[in-house]
Amino acid sequence: MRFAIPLFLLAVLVPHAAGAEETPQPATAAAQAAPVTDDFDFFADRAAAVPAATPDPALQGRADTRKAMFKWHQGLGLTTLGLLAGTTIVGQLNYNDLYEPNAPGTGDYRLAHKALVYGSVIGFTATGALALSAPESSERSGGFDAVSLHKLGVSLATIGMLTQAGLGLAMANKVQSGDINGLQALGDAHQIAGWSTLGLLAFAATVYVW
Amino acid sequence: MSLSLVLTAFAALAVAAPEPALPDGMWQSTAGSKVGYHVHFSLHDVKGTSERIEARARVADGRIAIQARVASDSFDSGNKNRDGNARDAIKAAAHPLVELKGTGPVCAPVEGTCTTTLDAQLTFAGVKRNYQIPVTLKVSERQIEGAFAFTVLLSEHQIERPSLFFKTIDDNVDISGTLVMTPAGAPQPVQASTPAPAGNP
Repeated sequence: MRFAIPLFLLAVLVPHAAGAEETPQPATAAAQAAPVTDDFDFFADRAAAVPAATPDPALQGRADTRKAMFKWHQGLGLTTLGLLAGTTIVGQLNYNDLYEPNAPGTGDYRLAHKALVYGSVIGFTATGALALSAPESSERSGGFDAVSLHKLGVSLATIGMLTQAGLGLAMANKVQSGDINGLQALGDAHQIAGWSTLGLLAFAATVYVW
Repeated sequence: MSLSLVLTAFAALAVAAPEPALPDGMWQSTAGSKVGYHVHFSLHDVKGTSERIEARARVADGRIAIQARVASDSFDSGNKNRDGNARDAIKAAAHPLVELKGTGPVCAPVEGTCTTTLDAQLTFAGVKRNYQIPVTLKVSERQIEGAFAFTVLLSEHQIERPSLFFKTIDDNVDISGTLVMTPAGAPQPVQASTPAPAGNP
């Protein structure tokens, strides 16, 4: 019994020897010399070994420009979506006023529709130009993602805008020449294409939410 | 001395076997280390991770000093375009490394685990800020696994927060990760955690 207590104390107090036997060797002289304070650099020996860590002001400049341009792209794009929604709604009112059977034909919406069309076209063109002319700052392609859907939606919306312009001009020519033959069909197509274009642009704008 | 006494002594030795402690010396990160972020946004949250993190630590005189760095451009959220926007936002080209230096007391593991708090300085987007970072250490004889989590404020690091539909992401970003470290002399998987180039590959 007289040895039990010393043995127990020995067991409790003896330091763990494994770590002491396997004291790790320092990786580098620089690391070994580094003190345990806030002022140390364990990677001093590897600064030159990581050329990747060199700042690239030119690339950062392009990144800053791109970021600013896409900030404008987003704001202008949403403004364009609002303008296109106005164009489509007022265009529908214009259609009802001028081209529906027994339409009153007041022409009250013609000027507003025209102004909104010009606003939408300018906004759409400027928004697209910002995106297309923005400098690249890093690798971004990564398969089919939200950006791909955005580009698809905008591309189809561009086709829709051009179709709308063609149909609108064709209708205006017919009205000016007094040839109402086929005017109703052109109006119907213009109406369908208008709502479709608005839907495509809304899809392109909101696809990032998901 | 009777047999029962001998058995009692061995039992006492077994019960009181010391925990593996943090041996003094240099440690370095190895494969399995990773760090991640969690960005909060009203429309959807975003998580990204990087395994291109490297760290070195020195344990001496009851204190631990650690330096960890990760390539700013190495985080992967599963969406390359979003990662590109994130790189632009955190100015990865101008500041290719996110670096953390911290010191704290060495804790005494209980059942192989203990928690210490590091007084740390984080250099993120070129701006240094001080943080207190709790680190849970899982200690074995040949390896330390440190799990950490803390929150940074983007505004503190002068980062302009990206926005979608005129709504900016939240200012607070949760950072968490695990550093698996082995004695610096131990064989390492080469290039497993070396930061790589920022910006264009």
